[in-house]
Amino acid sequence: MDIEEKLAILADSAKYDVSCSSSGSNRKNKGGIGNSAPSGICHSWSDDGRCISLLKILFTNECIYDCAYCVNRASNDRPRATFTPDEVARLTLGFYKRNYIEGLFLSSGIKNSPDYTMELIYKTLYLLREEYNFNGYIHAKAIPGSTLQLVNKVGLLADRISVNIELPSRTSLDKLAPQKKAEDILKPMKNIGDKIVARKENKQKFRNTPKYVPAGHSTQLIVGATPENDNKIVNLAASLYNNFNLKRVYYSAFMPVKSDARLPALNKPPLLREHRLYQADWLLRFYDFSAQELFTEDQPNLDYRLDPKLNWALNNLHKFPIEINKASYEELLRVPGIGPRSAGRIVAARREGSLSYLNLPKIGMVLKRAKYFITCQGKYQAGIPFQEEIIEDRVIKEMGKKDLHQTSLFSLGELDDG
Amino acid sequence: MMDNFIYDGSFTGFLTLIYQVFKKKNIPAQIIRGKEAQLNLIYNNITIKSDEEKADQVTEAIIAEISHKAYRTLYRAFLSEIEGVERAAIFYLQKGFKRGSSYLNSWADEEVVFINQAAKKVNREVHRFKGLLRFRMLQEKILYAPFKPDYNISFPVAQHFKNRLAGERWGIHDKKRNTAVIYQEDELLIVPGEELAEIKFAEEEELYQSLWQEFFNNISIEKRKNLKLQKSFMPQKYWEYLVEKK
Repeated sequence: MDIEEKLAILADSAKYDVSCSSSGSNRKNKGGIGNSAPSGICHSWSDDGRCISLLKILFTNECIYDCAYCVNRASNDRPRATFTPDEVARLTLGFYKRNYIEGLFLSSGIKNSPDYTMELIYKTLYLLREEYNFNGYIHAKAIPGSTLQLVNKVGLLADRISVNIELPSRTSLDKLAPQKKAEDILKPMKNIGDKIVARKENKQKFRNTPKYVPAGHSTQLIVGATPENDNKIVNLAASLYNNFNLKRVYYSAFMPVKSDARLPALNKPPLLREHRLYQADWLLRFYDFSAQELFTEDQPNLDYRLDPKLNWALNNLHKFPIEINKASYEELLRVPGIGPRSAGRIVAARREGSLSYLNLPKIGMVLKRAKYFITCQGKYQAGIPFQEEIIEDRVIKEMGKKDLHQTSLFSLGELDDG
Repeated sequence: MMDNFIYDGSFTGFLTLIYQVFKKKNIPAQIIRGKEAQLNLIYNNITIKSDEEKADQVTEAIIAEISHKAYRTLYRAFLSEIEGVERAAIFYLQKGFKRGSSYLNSWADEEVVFINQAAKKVNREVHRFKGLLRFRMLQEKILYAPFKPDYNISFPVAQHFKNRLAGERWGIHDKKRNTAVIYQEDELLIVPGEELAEIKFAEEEELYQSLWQEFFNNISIEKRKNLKLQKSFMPQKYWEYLVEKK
């Protein structure tokens, strides 16, 4: 099989992995080729509008497991292919030189055994880093069930490692991926998280502590294949961030790849739900929200009509309106239409003099959203009385429609501001 | 009587102009880029000659009296070549010199807004091309990247690749302005496009281009197809030199 054919099969098999981030690492070029840009760089966008930053491929799409949701499951009849470490390395370098990519994302089906596969991933990374002196970004998968020692060896070469949880509960995992054990997924995640913390501590003591997944570790959850509600999913994400020191949780709208009695029959992937989950996730990471704030007992799912921050504000109108010239940074951050950047600017600009309503858009505030929730120099400028039903009605009319059209605009790119 | 200032369009020339403005307390009626200017009965045409030394003095003054960030923002805004950017820069500096680094926090100030927005446009395009630039391998083992940026960003884009492709020979070519930046022995040189040799691709180039197209087509998920979204991230004006969009 020639390299072109292999690439077609092994890119096609890798496309359901969401992550394409190349940010968070600052590896320098030491006499070889490549470095990484801490901001991350998108190099292209595929026809589905997703950012292409990395050469995202599987090492092999052969797999001994038969997980119900996975396109590469053993019982699925499709062409199979396997790279050699050198093929992957040369493809990466050839693409990198031409600036097609920021680096490599190497995942894999499980061939022979988890350790056998993990060893191949390690060999490929070793070849790239040590033989070809490649310093571009590398994201590698830790194969569930492989020994931690092997995972850690890969961690010393990669910029990011991820272990996909895929299903948001133990019950679902047992049902749809019976050969995978929850422990095989959680143990390496815990281990990677601990190692990252230990490395940070060591670095303060010893200058030459080697890099260990400098861009952090991440995971992916499939949404809509199993009955878990949003409350459960967001809470799981929050506890992963808090306990495992995770950098990112990715959400992937479920798409049936082969009919299976254990799976729901969907015509379309639940993209809007996926989008809202990303927005909720954003609130956890950059807006200091807790998972509990976003749900109530009788509303265990996000309201898909509006973004979760707007929703929260409507449900908490008693906290508004706040005065732009007086509110604290934390209070400003809670206003729909104000992000971390504009909140910081408001606080800085106020010191130079009181801000008028006309100044606000220049600072980067989105007044269309924010106007309902603020006063500026004492005035409420939304043009309607500050009453819950009226505001809610207006907001849903004005923003709900447009927002629906923008579905998944924010979840896919490498956007840094929300 | 007011004067028109004419300068060569380079950043050094621009800083020399700034030097004149502040030294002689003379704010020009018009600032004209390039060599030609029509004679005018009302205004005096004064040609500013680029002067490295004066430019350096201005650079130091901006960094010392306002901030490094102000200098950087001004440079990026300058690259936008947007109508009026030079004049806005004069008032920006006037206020900046008076008020120091905190002036940059006046987010609502007319000149801060103008300069920031121009710089932002340039920064955005620089960032875009860090990803969208495509090198082609030439016969002499030189990587060559043509592109048509809206703004004059060849140099900052080239800087991004300096460390990244330190072991290679390469050049990027602004086809719109017909200037190129060439990387040679750890240095970046700006050369006119006319001086570039004829472009001949290496033999392996075709294979890599078709491998990349193969990858590009296979990584997209059919059920999520969204060409509008793709275009919003990657506007059509950039497609001309994109291997995957050929």
